[in-house]
Amino acid sequence: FGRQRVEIACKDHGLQSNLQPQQGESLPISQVSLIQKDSPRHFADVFKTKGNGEVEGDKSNSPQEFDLSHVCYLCKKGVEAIIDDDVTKCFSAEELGSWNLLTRTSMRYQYLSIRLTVLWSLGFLFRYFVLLPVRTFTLVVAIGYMIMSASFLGYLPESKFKAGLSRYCLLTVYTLASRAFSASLTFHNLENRAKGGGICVANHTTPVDVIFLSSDNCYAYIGQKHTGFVGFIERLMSRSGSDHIWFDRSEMRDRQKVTNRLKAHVEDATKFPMLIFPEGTCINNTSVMMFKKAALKSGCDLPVAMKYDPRFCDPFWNSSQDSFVRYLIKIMTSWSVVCDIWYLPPEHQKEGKIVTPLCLTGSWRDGGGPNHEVKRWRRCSDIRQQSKGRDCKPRRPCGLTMGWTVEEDDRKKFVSRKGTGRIQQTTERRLANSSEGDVVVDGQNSCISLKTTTSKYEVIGADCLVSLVTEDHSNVIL
Amino acid sequence: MGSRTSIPLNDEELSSLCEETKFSHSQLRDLYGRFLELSKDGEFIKRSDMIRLSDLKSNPLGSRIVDAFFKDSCSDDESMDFTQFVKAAAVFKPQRKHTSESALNSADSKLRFIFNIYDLDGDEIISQDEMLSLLKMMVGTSVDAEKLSQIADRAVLDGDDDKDGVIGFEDFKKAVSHIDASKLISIRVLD
Repeated sequence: FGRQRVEIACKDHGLQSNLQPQQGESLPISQVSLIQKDSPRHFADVFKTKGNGEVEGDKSNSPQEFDLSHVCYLCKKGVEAIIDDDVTKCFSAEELGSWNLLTRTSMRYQYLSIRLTVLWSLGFLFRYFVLLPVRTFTLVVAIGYMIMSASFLGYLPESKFKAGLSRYCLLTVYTLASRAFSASLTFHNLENRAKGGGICVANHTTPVDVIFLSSDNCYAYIGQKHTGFVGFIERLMSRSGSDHIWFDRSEMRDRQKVTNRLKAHVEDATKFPMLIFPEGTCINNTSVMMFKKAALKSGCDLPVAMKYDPRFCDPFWNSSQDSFVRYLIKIMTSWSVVCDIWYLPPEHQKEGKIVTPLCLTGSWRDGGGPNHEVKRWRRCSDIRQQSKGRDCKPRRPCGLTMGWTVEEDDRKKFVSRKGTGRIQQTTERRLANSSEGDVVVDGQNSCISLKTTTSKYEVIGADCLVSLVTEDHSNVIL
Repeated sequence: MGSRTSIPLNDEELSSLCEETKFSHSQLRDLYGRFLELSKDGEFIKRSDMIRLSDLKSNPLGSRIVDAFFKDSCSDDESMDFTQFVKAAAVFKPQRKHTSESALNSADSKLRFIFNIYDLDGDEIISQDEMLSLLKMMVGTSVDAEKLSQIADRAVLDGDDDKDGVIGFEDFKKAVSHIDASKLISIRVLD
């Protein structure tokens, strides 16, 4: 941002900007992230050019301006580091490097030039009066088509023909719906696509990413039974031949019932793979939170990684800030939705052994995809470190920093940091404070105690908690 | 983890703290959780506890920020308790339209925080030396000393409104009036 302003200022005064490309900029894109905005090198660039492009008596170009806004930025980052912690960092919307002409992504909107304002107004008019109506119309068409095809398919008898036709219809419906957001989706590694049965786990940034995933492959969904329009859609989906699991509120409380139903579905290879978002809530597209354990109990897991390009829209739904309708309007008046989706190789749970866990980290910031070899679990802070391009060395076993409760409705807990554990004092005290079902790790003793039973389990290997195997190898808990 | 340690303040103190800082109860609880993480003994945060944070280490102004954090809020400059921590954090709360001038998160207090970062010796003025040392911290050794001192002199000259050779708090406020500093110095999560 500073560099751009220097260039604008120099151009305004007819000077040559002597911005030599620094060493950092000739590096391949995967390493540019190392030159961070708040590094001394960045400031050195600014000051070097200021020295060359000096204009007499021009207050608006004085270094003072750069000084103060940079100091403010550094100060804010510093205090954020003091007050924030890793979990809340996942929940504020991503900030962009350069403005993409959407006011909502500009944290420091100020009047820069008449040209920019004109451009922005043109963009505004185009987005709200051309794009929005077209997209709404497409969405209505998609929903209408879904209603028609679902009703039609409901009348057909169960047969292979019906299955084939319903698959075709579903894919069409979802492709249409994703066009309503002008979604430009790129799917990588199609050979790893889910075929039947099993669980697909994906990271969650927006509530509509279900639509994007479903436009390529059919999935079964699991969710709460709603009333009204959403409930109508749910019933419709169940009618069109695919088996979804919709729960009553009362059923949700009975955890065992949930697990059984899930297991029954997953083990049936003729059914669609079950789509699950184990993070439990929407994350802001910069990092991946630790997965919740309920998601990963069953046999085969197929990770799917999604990464949005933040320049075209801000897909993150901050549900404390926006209602769903407002969020939909925001998404439908963005430029478009550009998303890369990687299908990662499936993970199988080995009998009686430690399962290598899933991790959807990778070089998010570098623009590349997640690494295809399965990585070990990282702590949330490590995931963020890795995403900044820094390498983390694996630590000694039992480096777990997050414990998590078994409650399904953990979203609130994550936001208010209740659901996360810390390495604190002694195991006993934490056991006393934890609720039933918690997994408590003591860094020194290398043992795990489950509150619900009195047996102890051993952690085998792993630098972070992966899974636990009971002594008789009958139960694997992640 | 399901355990919520309660804040060691009684109801009266808690509500007066809420009044003063405009934080809600749940925000105070979150801040208390953070306070416990930072402090070693659960009672005070020492300067050394804060500097340990890795994000601050990589921040060129890390130590100055910690100094500024400690400066106004506590008497002995070495440790702060929870109330002082909350009051210091309150400075960064985003402003609402009806924030009064005397509130903790007013534009004045925010600018004062930034001013304290510049002002090393606490004498309420930014001299050329202080500006130079700040620039040195931000830039490292990449720019040569002469150019840096030129920039520093220039900056003090430009900012010095009442022409007394140094930048006082009023000059500073005038100098930043053209950028929306109070928006820059707000942390959204505290809203």
